[in-house]
Amino acid sequence: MFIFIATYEWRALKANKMLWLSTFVTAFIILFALWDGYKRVSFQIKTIETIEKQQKADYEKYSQQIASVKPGQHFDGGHHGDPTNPFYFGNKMGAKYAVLPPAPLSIISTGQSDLFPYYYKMTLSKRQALYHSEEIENPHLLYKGSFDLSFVIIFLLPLVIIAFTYNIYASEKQNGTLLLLMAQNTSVQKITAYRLLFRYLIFCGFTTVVLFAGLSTFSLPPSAGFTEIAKVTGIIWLYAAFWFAFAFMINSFKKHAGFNATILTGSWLLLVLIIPTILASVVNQLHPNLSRLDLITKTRDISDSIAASKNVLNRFLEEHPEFKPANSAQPDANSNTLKNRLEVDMKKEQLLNEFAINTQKKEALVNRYRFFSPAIFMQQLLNNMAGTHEKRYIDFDNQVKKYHQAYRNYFEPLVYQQQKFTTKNAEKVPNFTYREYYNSTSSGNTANILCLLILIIPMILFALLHKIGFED
Amino acid sequence: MIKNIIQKELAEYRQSSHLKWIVVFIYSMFGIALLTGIQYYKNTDTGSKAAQVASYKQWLSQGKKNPHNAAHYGFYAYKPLSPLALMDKGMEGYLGQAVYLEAHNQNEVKEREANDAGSIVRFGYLTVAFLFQFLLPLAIILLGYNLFSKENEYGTLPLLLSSYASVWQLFKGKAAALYRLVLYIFLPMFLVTWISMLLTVDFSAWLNVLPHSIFLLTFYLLYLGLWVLLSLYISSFAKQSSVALVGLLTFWIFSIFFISRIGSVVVKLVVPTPSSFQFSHNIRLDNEMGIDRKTPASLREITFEDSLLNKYEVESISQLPLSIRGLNLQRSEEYGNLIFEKNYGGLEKDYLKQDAIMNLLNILSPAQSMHSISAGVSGTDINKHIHFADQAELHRRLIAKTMNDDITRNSLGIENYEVSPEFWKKIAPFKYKDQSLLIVLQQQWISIIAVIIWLFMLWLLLKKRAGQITRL
Repeated sequence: MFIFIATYEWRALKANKMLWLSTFVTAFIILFALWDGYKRVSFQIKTIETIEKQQKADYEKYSQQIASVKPGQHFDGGHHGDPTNPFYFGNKMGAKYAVLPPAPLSIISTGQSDLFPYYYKMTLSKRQALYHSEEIENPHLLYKGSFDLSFVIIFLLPLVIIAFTYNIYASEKQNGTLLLLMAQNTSVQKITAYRLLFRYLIFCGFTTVVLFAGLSTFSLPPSAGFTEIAKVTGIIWLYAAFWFAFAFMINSFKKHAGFNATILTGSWLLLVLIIPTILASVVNQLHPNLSRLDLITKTRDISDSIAASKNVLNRFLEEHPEFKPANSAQPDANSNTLKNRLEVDMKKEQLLNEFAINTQKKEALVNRYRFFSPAIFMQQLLNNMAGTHEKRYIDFDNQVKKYHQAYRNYFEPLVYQQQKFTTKNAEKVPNFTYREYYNSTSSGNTANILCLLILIIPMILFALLHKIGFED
Repeated sequence: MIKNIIQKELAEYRQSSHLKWIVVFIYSMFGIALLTGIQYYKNTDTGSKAAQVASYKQWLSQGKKNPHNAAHYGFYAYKPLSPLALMDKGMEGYLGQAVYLEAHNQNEVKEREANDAGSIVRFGYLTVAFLFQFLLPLAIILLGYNLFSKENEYGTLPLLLSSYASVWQLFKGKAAALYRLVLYIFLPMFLVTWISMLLTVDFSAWLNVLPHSIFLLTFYLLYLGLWVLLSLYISSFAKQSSVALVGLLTFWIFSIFFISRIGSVVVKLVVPTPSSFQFSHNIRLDNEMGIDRKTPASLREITFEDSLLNKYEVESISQLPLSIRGLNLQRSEEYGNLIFEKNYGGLEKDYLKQDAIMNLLNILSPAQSMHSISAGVSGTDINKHIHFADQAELHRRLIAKTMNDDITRNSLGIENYEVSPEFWKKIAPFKYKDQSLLIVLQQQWISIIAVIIWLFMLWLLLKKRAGQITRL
């Protein structure tokens, strides 16, 4: 029966010019979005390469300068530019970068990648300096959002589906073919279901082909494996199923095409725009952002009180005599600066934790109410797949925090002991390697997929079983 | 005659149930948006004012210190929020609120709210302006899509035309009726927003933005009128109301979602911006090698010292009547200013170019043009941001120069030169002076003209259409 209906449906679709136009437009916007993602990620990869090259060049240059200073002599390029001083080397010249490489599927969704840094410059600075390492981007563009695949899938594909399905029943009525259909042995809702199923298969099949073609054309290292692409495709099939099922349900009320179009577009608006913005407002109302401005004031207060106490370093050196400078020299100003910075960070830990806790509270609230809109969990799913989800950046931040600690710890004894910084020291400065957090099968993703399924099935059952619609 | 038509239309609206639903929906959204706006304004404004006072207090309480150390300590400048931000947050979430004013470095304005807000805000902020710019037009579409087509559908058009009313009068009457209805919905909301603003902000601040508010009110009235004309125009073509509805919704979606995202892609392609790494690397090279890449820092110092010897007609630096340290600090500060003007100035120019292209594309979408006007007038766009950053930078230079001049004049021959805390008062607290409304309007000229052109064009098109229908 399905094959029979499908054959005729195919003939009807072939004759529909609007359909071919929308197919062409859909393919174009998917490829366009992937191309834009490709440009974005290429830029990131290029930036990372430039950074690594520069870091290597700087280490070579300053190692040569260090080597050129003969034992017992002083560097003649000025006090602050002296690479044999561990403080100046660690604080400026020998800066190292912690880099977050893009994930294999990052071209599909910009996510939070335009807001959060994917590289940090490590120096002997306070942690506050890291928070300031944002990537340059016109705030206007950040506000507008990018034209990525995730936007196409979440916002535009449902509209194409609506155009594809809103009059599937009403058109029969309008064309006068409904009575003919009703005279058949098969029930009208079964025929409608088959027609929708066929259109669903055509739509998703077509999208899949375009997606595979696009992803292989715009592939960047590390390229995504077949399973990864298949997972994204699977998610698109599910999201499309949601909208087809919804259209099926609305069609089952047997109203005219205008009514269906209004309800479907209205629901689209509600689900992809209104509910997420209301939820964002509610989340911000319940857990307003903690003031970063207040944090600045508090940090400076902490910093001032530590500077005023003047004995932080002395106390530390008394407790750790192994860090005392050789020849019983007095601790220098750089040692004092470094110790004070570390102390400020330690005292600020609690304040920064409050920010992290607030972010978690917000996220928990969004997660609790996300099932109000499939757009929200689609956003989470696609960002997760692309490795541009906020969580990955928070994880990167945490790894960077530890690395920054290790970086500074490496320089600490050298600075306190007022040692000469050697080329051997330069070789041993710790490097950063990101340990991937990205996991497409995380519990959050599974829950999101389950959410979609839970929404789809009742709608199909409703459309199939309720009697007011097709049967009368 | 027109009066009768208006009464007829209004009577029909009174009977329709969907008007009630639309009003309930709009007003509930308005309630949430207004409350969120008030809370946002209060939190940000209080936080910003408190931080500004605290930061200056910290500056004053530095104690006895070398002026250059004080210049390193510096203070923060905080961007004040215009009371209109309560209504239109614009791109404020992505702009940053504070800038650190310190010796040697111009810093970017940091502390973007969006970084702490979670990915849910990427769907957009629900603000009163969002409601006026995007949701009210949608309400107009829903109320006006069948304004004319219904006469076709019900077959009442010949009846109407058989009275003394001309098609043009019919159009005017119908448009006036819908517009009156829109004003009944819009004006109370605007008034409530106005009163809420008065209750939330200082009276003087409210008074300052009164001309801005009146301008916005005028433009919203034009803008909403534009959507009324558009709905009627499309409706006059449709044989079936559903076709008009689909057409209007498509345009609405195109105006709101499509244009802005496509705009981001085009803008980045035409005017690319450097990565943050490249940007700071350029500054580093300008510093190390000179802006022309031919005058390294050491050469600049020698040339400067030679010029001093000539100027003061002495043979060695030690014979100068002023402190060479202070002179050198100021020289390097002034060269730094050239570097920052080149780099930050270049970036600002790029941002403004990007905005200009975006505004040109926005001509295609009255909604985006109105959005740009509103954000500009409310001081929540990139123009005010740059204006603030530039003023803060001037203040930073003033701090550095005051400190350096004191060192130059007074520290000659003193080894550990320090000044008393009274000296810090020489630097006044930073006070941002806002741009005048006239300047803002000049910045928004493309968008202002776009809205006016749309309005006139639609008026003329409707007139032409009236002629066509009369001839039919």
